[in-house]
Amino acid sequence: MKVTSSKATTGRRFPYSEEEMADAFEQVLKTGRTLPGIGRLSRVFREVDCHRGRPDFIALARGTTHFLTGKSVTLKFAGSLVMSFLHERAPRSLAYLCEQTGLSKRTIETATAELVNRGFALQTESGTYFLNAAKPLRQVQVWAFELKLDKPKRAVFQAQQYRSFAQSVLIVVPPGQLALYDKFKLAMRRWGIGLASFDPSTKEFIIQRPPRIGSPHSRHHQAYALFQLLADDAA
Amino acid sequence: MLLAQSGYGRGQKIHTALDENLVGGVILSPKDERRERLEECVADLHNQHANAWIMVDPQFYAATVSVPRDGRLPEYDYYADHAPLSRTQFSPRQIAGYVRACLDYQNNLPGLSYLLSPTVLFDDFRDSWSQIALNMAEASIDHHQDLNAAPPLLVTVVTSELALRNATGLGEFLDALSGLEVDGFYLLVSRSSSSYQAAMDTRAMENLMYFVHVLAQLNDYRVVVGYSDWLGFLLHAAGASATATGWHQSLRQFSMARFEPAGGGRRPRKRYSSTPLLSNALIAPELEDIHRAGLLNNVLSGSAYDAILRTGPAAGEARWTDEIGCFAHWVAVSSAIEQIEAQRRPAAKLNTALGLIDGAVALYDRLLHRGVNFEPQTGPDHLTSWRDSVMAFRHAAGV
Repeated sequence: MKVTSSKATTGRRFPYSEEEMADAFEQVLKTGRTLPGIGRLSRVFREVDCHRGRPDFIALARGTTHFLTGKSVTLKFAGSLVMSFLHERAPRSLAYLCEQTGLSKRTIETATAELVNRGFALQTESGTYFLNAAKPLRQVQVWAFELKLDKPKRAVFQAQQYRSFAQSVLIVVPPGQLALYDKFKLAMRRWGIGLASFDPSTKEFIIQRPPRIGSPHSRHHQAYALFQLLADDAA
Repeated sequence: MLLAQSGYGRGQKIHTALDENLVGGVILSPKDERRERLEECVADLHNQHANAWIMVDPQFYAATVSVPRDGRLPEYDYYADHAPLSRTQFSPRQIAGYVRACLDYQNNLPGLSYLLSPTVLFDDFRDSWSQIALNMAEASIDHHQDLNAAPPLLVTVVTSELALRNATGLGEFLDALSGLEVDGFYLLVSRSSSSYQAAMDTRAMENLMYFVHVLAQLNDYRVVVGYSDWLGFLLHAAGASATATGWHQSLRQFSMARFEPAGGGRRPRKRYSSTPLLSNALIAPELEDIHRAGLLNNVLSGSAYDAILRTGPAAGEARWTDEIGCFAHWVAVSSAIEQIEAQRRPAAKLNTALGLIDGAVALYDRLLHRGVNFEPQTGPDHLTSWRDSVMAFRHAAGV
C-alpha cells in the first residue's frame, strides 16, 4: 500500500495511520463484491454524524437503498424523535407527541409538517398523524463499521453507541490487535458486536466474530441516522 | 434538604418539583429570568408553597467580569446601575451603595425565605478580592440590620476550587467569617473545569467540608451550598443545611464560565442519575449495557420515573424527556442526602456517607466484572477521590 499521509500513526507502532487504513478499507467496501460475513453492500458513507457517534463507515445492505430517493428533513433531531412515536395504524395527536417527546407544540408542528411534506408521515383530517407505511424507514438495513488501530475500550464503547441506529456493527482492527478484544468478549456478545481484522497492505479482510443482526435499539436514532444519510446523499 | 438551582429553561419544573416534594425550595437566577417573570415566580411559589425555601441569588459577582454574558441581569437595577466593576470601584461608600440596592430589591419581593448578600469571587483567601468580599459581607450585615422585618440574611461567599487547596488561608478567612453576626452563609465554589467533573480536587473537597463543618457545626450558622450536585450529600455530612442542583450541567457545578462569552454546545446526551452508583450514567450505552448484564435493578434509584427505562433503557430513552431526567436527578440526589440527614450525630452522618461510597464502589466492581463499559466521566474514579476527602476531613475535624 502506498503511504501518502504524514498524519501520526498511533505511537508509530503501525506502518500506517488509521486514516490510511480507512482509505484502504473503503476501497474494499466499495468493490461491490460479497464480503465474508457481511454480504453485498449497495451504498457506503464515510464518517456521517449520527448523533450517537460518527462511525468510520456506514453501509446499506443491498436492496434497502430505495429510501434514498426522497429528501431529508431539516429539523433532524425533532423530526426523528417524532418519527419514533409514530405508528402505521395507531393515530398520534399533537398533544400526545408533545407529552411524550417533551418538545414544544411549535416544534412538533414544524417537525410534523415537514415529515408529512417529505412523505414520512400522513396527517388525517382530524389532525392526527400516522407513520407512512409506503415509506418504511425502519426496514432499512444499516451496517456500521468502526476502525481502530488500538484503544479497544473506546472502540467497544463507540460500537455500543452505533447499535442505537444500526442493525449490525463491526469493529475492524489490524490482525495483530485482535487479542486486545478478548477481555471485551462478554460485552460484545451482549450487544451482538462483531470483530474483524483488516490488513491495509494486503487488503485481506477476515471476520473473527460475526455481528448479530438485530433491530436498532432506538427508533429515534435510527431515524436520525437515516435522515443524515439522506442529507449526505443529496449533498 | 435539596434545593432546585434554577436557570435557563425553568418552565414548570420548580412548581412541579415542589408539588411533588422532590425539592425543599429554590434558588432563582436573575440572569435567566425576565424581571417580571422572576417576581411572579417568587409570589406564586410563596402562595402555593409557604414552607418552601425561596431565594434569589443576586449574581452580583458577574459584575466583575469584563465582557459578561449576563443575560437578563441588566434588567435588574441593582446590577445595571453598577456593572461592570473593576478592582478600583469597591471603596466603602461604593460597597454600601451596591449592598443597599441589592438587599433592598430582595427585601421588596414578598415571600423570600432568606436574603442573599452581594459579593465578588476570589481565588485566594489572602488576596484583595477576598478582603472586598469580607467588606461586602460586613456592609450587608449592617444594612440588613436597618431593614424592617426583613427575612434573615445569608452572606454569600464565592471562592474557587483553587483557593480551597490552601488550608492556612482558609483557616484565617474562617476566623473572620465566624465573627459575623448573621444567620448563615450561601457558598459557591467556582470549579477549575468548566465541563462537568463529579469529583473536586481531593484536598479542595476536604477543605470545603471543613469550611462547612466549622461554620455549621462549630458556629451554628445555617450553611447553604449552591451548585453542589452529588457533592451535596458529603456537604450535608459536614453539616450543611441545604445544597442545590439544577437541570443543566452548568447548574450542577458552578463556574464563572457561565457568565463569560461562549458558543453554542451540542445537545447533551441523556443520562440516568443513580443513587446506588452516585453518578449519572449515559442511558445508552451504559445503562443499556447494565440492563443487558442483568443488573439494572441494582442501579435504579427507585423513583416512579424508573418505569420508563425498566424494560430497556435504550428503548425508553425517547420518552426520557429533559424534564423527567431533571426530576429523576433530584430524586436520586435527595435520596442520598436524606440518608445522611436521617442521622443525628456528625460521626454517624460521615459513616453513612462512607457507606454510600463503599456501596457504589462495590456495585461498580460488580458491573466492571460483568464487562460493563463506562466512559471516564461516569466511571468509578470519583468515588476514590470522595472517599479520600472524607477520610482526610474526618481526621482534620476530629469527627
